[in-house]
Amino acid sequence: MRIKVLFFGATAAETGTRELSWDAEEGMMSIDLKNAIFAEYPTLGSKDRQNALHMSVNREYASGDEILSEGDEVALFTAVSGG
Amino acid sequence: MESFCELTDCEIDVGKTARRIVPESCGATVTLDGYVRRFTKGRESLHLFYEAYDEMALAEMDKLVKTALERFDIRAVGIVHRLGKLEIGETSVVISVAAPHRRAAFEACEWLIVELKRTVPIWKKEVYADGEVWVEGDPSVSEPSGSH
Repeated sequence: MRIKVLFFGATAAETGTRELSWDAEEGMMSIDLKNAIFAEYPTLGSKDRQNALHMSVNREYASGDEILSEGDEVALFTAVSGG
Repeated sequence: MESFCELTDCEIDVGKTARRIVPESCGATVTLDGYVRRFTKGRESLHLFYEAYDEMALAEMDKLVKTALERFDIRAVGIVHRLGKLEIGETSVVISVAAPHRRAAFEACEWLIVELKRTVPIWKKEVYADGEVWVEGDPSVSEPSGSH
């Protein structure tokens, strides 16, 4: 199944991409996708840095245990800094 | 009078934004005009650049407005956040809160900016004379995974 993966700000700079289509196994959990992305993009940094990144699934903050479905939108980003 | 949340690439007219929410049941609007500071922690910025996860940012702002309307004795909220390149002194965010009496409006406005900086997916890049840095919020105060 295809998952839309988005990066913003620092994570977009570090991966050199803003959006990609990820081929994931049916029923994959969001934490597993996150780890697969880290494996593909070591430029996202150390383990500590990775742990500090946030993930959203379909525009809601995610905890990691979401079961992904075809067409879901997952984003990885640093702690926010607007205002 | 309707509350609103918006993102814009254009200059924000603070006064006009505040006057969009003037319900007849209210007597005071408190407005925060957040703008670009030249010096942060002793380092001089040439300008800032803001980027958002637009759809999620708007959804998170809507949630904040809804919660604020429940928690405080206020009647309407307007939030506008600017994106793109901003010069020193330009307004990056406006939060206006209308209430029957001012105290609740002050309290709600403070609560809203604290929560916005913690949860709304918008990021700031500081551009210095000798480089640029995407500012990372404090992960300990930013939205922890799955806390919604």
